[in-house]
Amino acid sequence: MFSLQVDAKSITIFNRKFSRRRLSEYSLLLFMLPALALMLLFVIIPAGWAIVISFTNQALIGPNAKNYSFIGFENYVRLLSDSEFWNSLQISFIFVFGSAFVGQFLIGFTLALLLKYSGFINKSIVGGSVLLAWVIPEIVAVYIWASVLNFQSGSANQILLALGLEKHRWLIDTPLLSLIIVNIWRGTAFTMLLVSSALEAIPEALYDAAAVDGASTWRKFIHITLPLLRYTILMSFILITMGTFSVFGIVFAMTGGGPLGRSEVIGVYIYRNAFEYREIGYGSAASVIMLLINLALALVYLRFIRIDWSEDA
Amino acid sequence: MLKARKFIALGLIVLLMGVLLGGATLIAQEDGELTISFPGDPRSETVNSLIEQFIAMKAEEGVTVNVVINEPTEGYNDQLLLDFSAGVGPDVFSISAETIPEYVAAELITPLDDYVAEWDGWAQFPQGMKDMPALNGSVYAIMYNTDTRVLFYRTDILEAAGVEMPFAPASWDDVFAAAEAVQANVEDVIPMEVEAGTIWGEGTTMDGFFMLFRGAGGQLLDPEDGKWVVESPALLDAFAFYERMFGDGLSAAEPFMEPEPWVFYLQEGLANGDVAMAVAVNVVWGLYAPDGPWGIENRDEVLSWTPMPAISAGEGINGQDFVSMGGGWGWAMSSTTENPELAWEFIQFMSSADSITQYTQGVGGIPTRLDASVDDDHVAAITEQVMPYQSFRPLSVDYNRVSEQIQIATERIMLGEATAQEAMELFAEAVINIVGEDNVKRLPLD
Repeated sequence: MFSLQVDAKSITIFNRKFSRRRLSEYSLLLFMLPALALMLLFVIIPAGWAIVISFTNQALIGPNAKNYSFIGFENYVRLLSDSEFWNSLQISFIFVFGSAFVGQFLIGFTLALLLKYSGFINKSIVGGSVLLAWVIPEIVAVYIWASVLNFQSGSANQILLALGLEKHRWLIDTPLLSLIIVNIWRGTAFTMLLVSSALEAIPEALYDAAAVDGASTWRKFIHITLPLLRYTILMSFILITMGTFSVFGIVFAMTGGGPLGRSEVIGVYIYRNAFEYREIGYGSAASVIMLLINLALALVYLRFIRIDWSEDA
Repeated sequence: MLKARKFIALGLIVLLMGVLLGGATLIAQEDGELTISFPGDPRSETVNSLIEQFIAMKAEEGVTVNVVINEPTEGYNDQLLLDFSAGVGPDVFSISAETIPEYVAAELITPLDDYVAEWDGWAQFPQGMKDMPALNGSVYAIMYNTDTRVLFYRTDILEAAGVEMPFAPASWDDVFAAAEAVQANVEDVIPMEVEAGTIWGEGTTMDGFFMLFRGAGGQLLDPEDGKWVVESPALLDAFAFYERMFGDGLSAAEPFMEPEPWVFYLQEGLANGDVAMAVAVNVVWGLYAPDGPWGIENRDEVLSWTPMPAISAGEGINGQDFVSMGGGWGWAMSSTTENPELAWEFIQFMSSADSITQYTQGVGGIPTRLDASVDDDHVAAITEQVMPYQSFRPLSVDYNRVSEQIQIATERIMLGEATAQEAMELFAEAVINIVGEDNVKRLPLD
């Protein structure tokens, strides 16, 4: 028979005594269960499944769709000997370096500083327009830029003509550069927002004290702003590197990886093999390698976070 | 102890979720259920209206049919394949004829031979419509949509260029002569467009390359020995057409590298008179109708078409003077359906003379049945003048990948990175990588 006894330190249910502390542990677990179950179902199981089928010759269609078999490391061996795979890796690295590191980060960081400290930039107009680029859907961004970079009548070429220069074949002669520009345009807001909020959190008193000590603006930046922003900077690096490494939509819709593979980032390579060639096993193997690279990058960054720079400063 | 209980609790929750999901599937499997997949494009409106008529017809017979419709607007084939591989494939699906071999190899599609043998409607399908969905002597789909390709041209531009009207080219040289006249005499007009490059995808192979290749008498997959022909005079001729077209500035490469090349070339270029000639699928005629989505107000005065000539008279495939490529969509039954009788009844309904007439009128296409009457001069003319020259793409599980190599070859030529000869050599190399040295052959070049 059900019985419930409650006192200050314990609760007795079915004649069993539970301490309140123990019960709160149970209830914590209980509250986490739905989230854990969803994570398991939609993140961990699919990722695990991708790893499993990366060791098979499973295809979406054809004879290997129904009767596929385990082929060990064959997909991985094939990947490592595929020059197109190495090409896509190389392009991905250039894309990440150019658009995430140089572009999104440096521009986003600078913008955040300018927004806070410079009097001549209108915060709402600049901040708003950068933010706008970030919130519009990827495909919409692609169409906007396709019309900007369009050879015949795009505004980029109209500007070149107005300057007395010749039209440029953006998507043919400089496809990767064009994509990097689009991605910078789109992603700058992220770093800007992160850095802006971190800047707000730096106490003004620190700057005041430095000013009393006669520190120049530059020294304040080097010795106060930068050290206090280092976690934000690293976090922003990790997130934008991973995000950019897995960019697919912009590239796929804009150039399809072309011309002749010159802008084929790893995401497009995976799509082409897994879905266009229907070799889902092979495509999964490439995804697993991509996952490993992302993990490795994250580990490198995390090590940097642990370094305590403030002692050097 | 505590750990074990945690696991039990977790296990119970997962089990509960499983039961809920499973229960939902069981309920959905009741009798009279039909899942139907087809591409969600402008044509699907007519398909939807026909499905409603089918449901109404069955309701009159006292049978309630619960129809689940899948009509993805993008990546139809990918979506369909993923549904199948996840075990939730449809009962009936629309299939583009050239993909049938892949579905057969994956055992996803049911042969319809026994069904058509007892169906009087089958006799109303012309031979081409019976051959297109057939593989190894079995029929796998009933065609409800077919198309063909011709050379469209702007009468006003060609006239201004001094080309004699009506334009009736009998060889590639005639086509080039007209293009050169436009180049010389009309400013700011791209003389011609033949689809090229990877971005236009299968359109490049089907509407562009094959229209040239068949005109040079080419066979890509030899039906005799089942080998891919990776080097042949016809292949070189077709690639040389591209080389001359781009090399002489008779077409422009840039629009082909934009995300949606058809917008510039067909939707705007031909419609606005920025492009003088374009090889294109017949259905664009309907799109250019004054009230159509790409409307040209005075379409009948400024736009016309002519069958695509072979390289020279009698040199086309089967000794033809003119060539065209036919494609199309059919209704197929999946091998996983639990309700084949109802599925066949649906396919039969969708393929009746009345349904095909409604469909063809709705989408402005060419009827697949002889007894489907369509009251349209353009369709009548195209059926009479072009359909006899139709040929089809090779049926093979490897077609998709070989086709991509064709697109890459045209892209190389278009960007000036390979001559026709070099592009053919790279093509041969790539196809050997796909199908193996034993499955290709080379024909002597003269």
